[in-house]
Amino acid sequence: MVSYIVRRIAEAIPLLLLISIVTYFLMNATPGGPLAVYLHNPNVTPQQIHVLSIQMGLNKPWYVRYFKWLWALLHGNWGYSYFTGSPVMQEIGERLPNTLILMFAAFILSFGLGLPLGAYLAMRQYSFQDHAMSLFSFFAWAMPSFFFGVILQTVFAVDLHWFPVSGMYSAYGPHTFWDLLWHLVLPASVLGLGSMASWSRFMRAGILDVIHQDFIRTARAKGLSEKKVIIRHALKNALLPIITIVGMDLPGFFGGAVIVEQIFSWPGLGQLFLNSLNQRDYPVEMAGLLIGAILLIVGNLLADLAYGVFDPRIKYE
Amino acid sequence: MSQVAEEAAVPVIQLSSRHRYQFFRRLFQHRMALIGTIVLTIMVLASLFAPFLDHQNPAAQDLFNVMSPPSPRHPLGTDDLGRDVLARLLYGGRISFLVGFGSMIISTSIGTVFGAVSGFLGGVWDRLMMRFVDLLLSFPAIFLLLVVLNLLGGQASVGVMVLYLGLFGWGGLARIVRSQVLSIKEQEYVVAARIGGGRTMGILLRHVLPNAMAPVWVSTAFSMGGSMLAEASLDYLGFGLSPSIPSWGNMLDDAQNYIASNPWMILIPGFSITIAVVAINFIGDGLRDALDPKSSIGMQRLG
Repeated sequence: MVSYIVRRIAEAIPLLLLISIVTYFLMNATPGGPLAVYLHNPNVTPQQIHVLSIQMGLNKPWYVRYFKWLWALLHGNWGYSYFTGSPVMQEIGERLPNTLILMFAAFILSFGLGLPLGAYLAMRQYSFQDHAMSLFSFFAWAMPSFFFGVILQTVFAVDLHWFPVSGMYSAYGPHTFWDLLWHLVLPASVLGLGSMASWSRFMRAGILDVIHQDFIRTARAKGLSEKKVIIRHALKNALLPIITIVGMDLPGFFGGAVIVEQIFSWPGLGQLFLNSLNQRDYPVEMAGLLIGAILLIVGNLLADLAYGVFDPRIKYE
Repeated sequence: MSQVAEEAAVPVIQLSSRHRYQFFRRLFQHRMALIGTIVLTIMVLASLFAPFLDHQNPAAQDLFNVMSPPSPRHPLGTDDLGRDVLARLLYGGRISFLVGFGSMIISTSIGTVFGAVSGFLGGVWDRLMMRFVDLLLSFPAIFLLLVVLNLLGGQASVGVMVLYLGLFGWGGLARIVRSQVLSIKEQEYVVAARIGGGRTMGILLRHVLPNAMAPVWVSTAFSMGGSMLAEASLDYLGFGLSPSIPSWGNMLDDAQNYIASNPWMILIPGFSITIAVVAINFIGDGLRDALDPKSSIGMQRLG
């Protein structure tokens, strides 16, 4: 298993290199480089812009700069933001945990609500609740997340004042866990809704698939209560396909986080990335993209490993 | 899941109500696809024949008449620049459906051909091609998409949007088609065709592909809905279609600043896109039940 993990990581390196080259090229092809903000500033002379571009190394061709960037990265230096001047790793380090908190909360919400819901509906197949929830999940999935987010924000934050409109902590007072949780409710619901709906569908289908098999009948026959049959026997087998789905949904969580952070001004990686795109802050852009790719690769690897935990038949070679 | 096994597992007392539910379930399932088809047809026709339904120009501004409530002249009112909301909705439907349909055609074609060739050739080619699919699927697509769209300064044309969504969205389908082809190519009729001296391409096209198409049809629906949502999300982030194009995503983006004063401005395009995507997914669900009940092709989306 260790060699499997090492191999997967080794395979990821060419991918990361490819992503970095493509992005570096596209980024530099984008019109209006990092110095464009000064072009219309009467206090900045063309000479000053020229000096700045030499200082920042922007006068060299993109591939030369790419290799300089890569060389520095291999020595553990991600560069400095063009705009704040602080090390890129420091900026990412401030933002990344916030995105992970948001994604984790949404994951807990959709996992913790979606799976039990799916199991509950499987036990009441074709009941009114079953049909109603099935209809609900179709709509939950099809609603654009920013549309749903803006509506939740307007109703529960602006009108009812139940939850804060935006941000991660209250402006005044200490940053407590409960304050964070209170700020998390709306963003995490928006991010988690789609996957909650789809995971509950898969859970329902998974349980219905195993519930008619012999080992379940045996469990019933030996007099176990329905609850025990479901939890101890059906659930574990139904979880298998879910784990693949969860792994496949991970990129969606990531993309969704970019949008949710924008709606709720959540100070995360997505917001940093969007800002860096708009400002042509190349070092931050590169770091954001690569960290995103690494997170996805690690997430996929974890999903594959979890698959083996639930299904001992799977061997890692 | 066989019907017999299903009946056997149910206590006797519930049998009668159970039968009724079975009946309703079948009806409901067919009905969902039916409702989806009807709703989608109406929406597509309405946007195709937009000039006949509403004589307003979706781009014409009437600055003396902004944010007006519904009236005979503007059945759904006007937006922040005095543009007719109904006209924008109808013409916006063209854009959304075009983006969804166009990118679906691209991603389905690439995914089917790529998966089929990979599975059929096998060996080194198969391994290389599937590695490539792995790459595509582990790509942080939205980040790269944003970098690419930034190149165009948030002024993407419909064609560019179709191309990008299509080119990024075929990885999952390629995997599924490949696994279908892998099992089909070992079947007797394919082996027989080989022994009969058929050419590789001929066998692939005539014998293998037609039998591997069930998941392809199912995925078309979900892919179309997913692309429509992705396009709207990108518009919202400001990296999508040029703001002058009256797409549903751009309407939502315009409307969010006025949600407190004029909520209908956001509700109209928001529910239009939701209902369109629900209708499409209803059809997808119906197709799956009819063609490929075992598959786990589901709804995938970008954000």
